[in-house]
Amino acid sequence: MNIVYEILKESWTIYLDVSVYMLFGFLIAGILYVFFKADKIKRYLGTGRIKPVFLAALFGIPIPLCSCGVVPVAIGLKKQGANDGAALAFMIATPESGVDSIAVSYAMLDPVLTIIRPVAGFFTAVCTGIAQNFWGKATPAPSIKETGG
Amino acid sequence: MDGLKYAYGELLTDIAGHFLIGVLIAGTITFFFPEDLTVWANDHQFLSMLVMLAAGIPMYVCATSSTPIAAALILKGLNPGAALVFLLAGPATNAATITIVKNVFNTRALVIYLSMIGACSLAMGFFVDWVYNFLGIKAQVVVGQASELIPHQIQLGAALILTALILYNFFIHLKKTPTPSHSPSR
Repeated sequence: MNIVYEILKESWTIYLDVSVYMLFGFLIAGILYVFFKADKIKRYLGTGRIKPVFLAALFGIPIPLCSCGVVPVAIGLKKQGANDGAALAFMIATPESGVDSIAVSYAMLDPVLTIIRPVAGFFTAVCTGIAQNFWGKATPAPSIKETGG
Repeated sequence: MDGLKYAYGELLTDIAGHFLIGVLIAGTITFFFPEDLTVWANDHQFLSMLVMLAAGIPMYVCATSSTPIAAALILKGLNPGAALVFLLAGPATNAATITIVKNVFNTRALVIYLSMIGACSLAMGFFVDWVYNFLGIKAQVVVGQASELIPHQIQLGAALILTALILYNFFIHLKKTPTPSHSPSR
């Protein structure tokens, strides 16, 4: 019983540290939602092996969606004409960082890690997307099926 | 207004549960883990990154909820590079997205997807450790020490507001769950 209490106490102090930043992160997320809808992005993702990947990763970084939430959006992008690399890049960049997680990182981690997280997420997404466009086999646009998670 | 409704409603509902679990895991780590991982992590820099990679890839954590976990691990002395590997590999992949990449794209795409995430995460991990060594600083994290930036009253107020929002959304969600299908546009 004592252990449970101690764990809850530790968790509560963590919760205290983070709440302010969470609220702030959600505020930014709300503002982004209005100006920056995922379904508007697709027209910027034209053809090409490299540029759409960069754009997809760049758009994905601030959007706060978890890895399962992003799946329908990424599949939607692919369906609307984004190439495989761009869809994969979006699928990686989006969950790896978002305005909310940047706010929380600033609260709990130090500036180095706060800055490197979105940068590293962008880097990973771009590398994967470009690799897919050069070495992968293009797949036909999928018929949307509901995915769990 | 629409945006605020989305952020403090739908988005908050999506994230809150996982986030609270993340906070609990962090609390558990802080309580249970050996006081000092520093020596082990310094001797096994690469191994600690591999462990975090193996843990992060199948795990379903979102970017926000992985943060307190990483902070707790750093506090215990894990090298920041390994923590970053977890922060990158954890949210990007999980068992569900792996299946989806394989089905929607193909196996070849899955191999590229996983190996590139692994390679990039490890590379960024090494890079971060190098940055810390180069600057001669140690990673600073706040876990369980009330940060001095923000007065305690404001923290408490924010925690209460956040809790109220989570509970409010939770009950709204309970009320209207005839169909489990969320808006598919998400």
